[in-house]
Amino acid sequence: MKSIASAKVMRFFALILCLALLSAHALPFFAFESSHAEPSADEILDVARALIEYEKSANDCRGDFLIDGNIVSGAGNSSSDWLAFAVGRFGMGDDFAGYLAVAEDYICERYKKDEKLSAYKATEWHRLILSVLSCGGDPMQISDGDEKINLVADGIYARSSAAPLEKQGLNGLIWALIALDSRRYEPPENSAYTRAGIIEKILCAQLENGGFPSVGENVDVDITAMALTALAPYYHDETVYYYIQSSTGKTVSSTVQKAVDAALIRLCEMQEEGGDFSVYGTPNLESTCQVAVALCSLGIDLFSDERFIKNGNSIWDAILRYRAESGGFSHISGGTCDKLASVQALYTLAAIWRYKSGMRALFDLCDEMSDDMKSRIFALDQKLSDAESFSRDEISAAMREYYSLPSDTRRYVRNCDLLFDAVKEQGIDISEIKNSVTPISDRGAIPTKKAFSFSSSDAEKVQSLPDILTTEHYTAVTSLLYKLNASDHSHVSDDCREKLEKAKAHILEIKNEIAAINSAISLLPSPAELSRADFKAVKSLAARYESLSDYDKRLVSGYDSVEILLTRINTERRTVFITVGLIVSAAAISAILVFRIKRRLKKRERDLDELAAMYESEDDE
Amino acid sequence: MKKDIIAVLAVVLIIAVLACGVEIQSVDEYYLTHIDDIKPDSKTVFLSIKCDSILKNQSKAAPALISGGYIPENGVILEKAEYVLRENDTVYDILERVLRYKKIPFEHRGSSASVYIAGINSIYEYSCGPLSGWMYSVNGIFSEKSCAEYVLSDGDVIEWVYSCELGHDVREKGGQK
Repeated sequence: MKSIASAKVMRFFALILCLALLSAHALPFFAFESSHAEPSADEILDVARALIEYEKSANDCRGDFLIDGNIVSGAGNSSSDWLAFAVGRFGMGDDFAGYLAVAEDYICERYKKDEKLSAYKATEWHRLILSVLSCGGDPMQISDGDEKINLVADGIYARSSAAPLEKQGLNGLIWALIALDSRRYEPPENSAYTRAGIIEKILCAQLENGGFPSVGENVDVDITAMALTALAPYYHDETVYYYIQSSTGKTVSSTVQKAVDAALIRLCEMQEEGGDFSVYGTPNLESTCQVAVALCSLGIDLFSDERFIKNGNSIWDAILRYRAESGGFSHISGGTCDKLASVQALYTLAAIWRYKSGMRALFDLCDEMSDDMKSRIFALDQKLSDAESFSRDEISAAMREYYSLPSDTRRYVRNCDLLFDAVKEQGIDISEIKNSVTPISDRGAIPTKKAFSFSSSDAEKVQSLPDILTTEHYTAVTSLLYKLNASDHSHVSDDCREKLEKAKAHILEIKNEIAAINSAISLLPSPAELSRADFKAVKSLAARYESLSDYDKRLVSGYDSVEILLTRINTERRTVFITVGLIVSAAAISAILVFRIKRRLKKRERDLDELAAMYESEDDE
Repeated sequence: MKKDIIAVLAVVLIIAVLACGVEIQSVDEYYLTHIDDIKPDSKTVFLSIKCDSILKNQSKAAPALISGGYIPENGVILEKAEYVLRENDTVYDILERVLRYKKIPFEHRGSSASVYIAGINSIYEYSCGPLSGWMYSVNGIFSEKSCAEYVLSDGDVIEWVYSCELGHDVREKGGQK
């Protein structure tokens, strides 16, 4: 890594310049078209804000927040979770209580099933661990009535053998490690999975060419980048792993650093001339994003590290080419805005912004370092850029300073490689220094876990709830109740709590009714197969549907089937009715006709009789 | 005499109507109840559902998948057939309606525009190796859009296929997201 020392020096000049600009509040207008310019942290934030506005309009979010509309109601779905995760990592204000409340309900609901979050995908747990943490919740303490759900245990170290992490291939192992390291969770003894075990399994899958495959023996950019993101915290860990490489069957001994460096060389070779990365020959945003996140996690500057600049194009230049005027991002450059691409772009922007701001990496959700700690690391980093020319004493002093940092912040000393190289050259005993220093603690750290409070405006919101509730009020009610339960609520009246609890119970009833209607509709025959036996079922379904509010009616799917069946029933009824009517009237007309003919015949008979009588009397005379 | 002739004609007419078995309904009702009938001027699409890739990858398949009897012998869950295309129908709308009518169970995740089909006929993603799942193509091109975002047009041919290798076994590139 020595070869990039000059690039690192350059990067720090750039960072100093950037900080100077920030402190002076003299932010130049940022033109996106002028590529190859290194953006400031605030300029990255501007790109993110425009993307958030795009997501808000695409998801029916009408207020100030992104966690609103379809995003909050979809908590537990991949795109909602990643968007909530991303805004949390930007440290922006948003409706985090709303997300946590709905996510908690989603998790509890899914946990009623045998398969819980998923029968196969451990990554469902991993994603929720990350998003719950980012929004300020605790994934080890998801409230399910009086019980607590522990996503970290169920999704990582206590996975059952029926649905092991490997079931999803390398993906499951990589995200398990990322989630396990998000807050340095420690698996208890005798767990199904240990940290070292997961790392070893990931290393086993590495190909001889340094890349990681998604299937078989073909290197996959996304998986390689994700593997690097997962392994990043262990880059300076000197543990040597002995394992059998899956693709070759060879026994290998390697540190994480060696494996990561090999993968970086492979990625560097795979980068396109435009700075982006391809899957099956198609340059795309998602692969490029994953590499950006990996580089930021490893502390590699994607704006200046020459390994990742092709033809003058950095990964940042490439990412901006996928940006649409609307602020959204597309899968393929110049394509239409794409949900997945935009979601991945948002958390990638968070990763780059955090890197630029000297903050913890995207997936490091430990309490955020105080400004004091950040400047301490920054100062040490600056000093270390000259480490090559350090004297023995200077090296020892720098080492002491390095080990005085809390262990979970040391990975952010980006120049520590230079220090370790110097230590090796001079043959200094690290362990002696390491053991003689007690790490300081970061008292000013900003806790990741948020403290929610139930304010007087929240109490007013409870009072202003309408009498007739629909599922439209679900998010508001759930998040108010979540806030109430999460805060010290001694000042809140019992009436208020009771009203909220009743409202939630009522809305859940409506939700269940909608679900019951939906499943009943799925059991209906197709219109062509309608028989008389179905009349009752269809009529009662229609009545149940009609008793829902207009808002809730929209949540019923396949109601067109009921409408068709109902029309058929009505048509058949009407046909029968009219047929009977017609038969009756035909009978009546016939009866009248017969009566009239009979009467006429009788009249004629009578007339003839009269005529005969007349003739008779004439004859008599 | 005139009245009698009219009466006879009325009776004959009523009997004729009854004999023809006419359904009595309004134009709207007729349109609604016959919405799925294929007429010469109807817009239609073709749909088929296949899982034959599992037959070639039986070693990877979960035991429950094989023993459950969900995989037809020829791997065809739904033969290619023509269905009426309603206004603004997406790939998801057609699939949902046909499966509902045919009583083939399916499971999806997500809502509104981002729907992911997790299982059809009790054959779920990840049942046949870590890279297995459902994907769809329209006119032979695998789409990367969510099936609920893909609006169909007249004559489109939709194929849902189960892939065991993230699409490598059934196509070149793309994927259901």
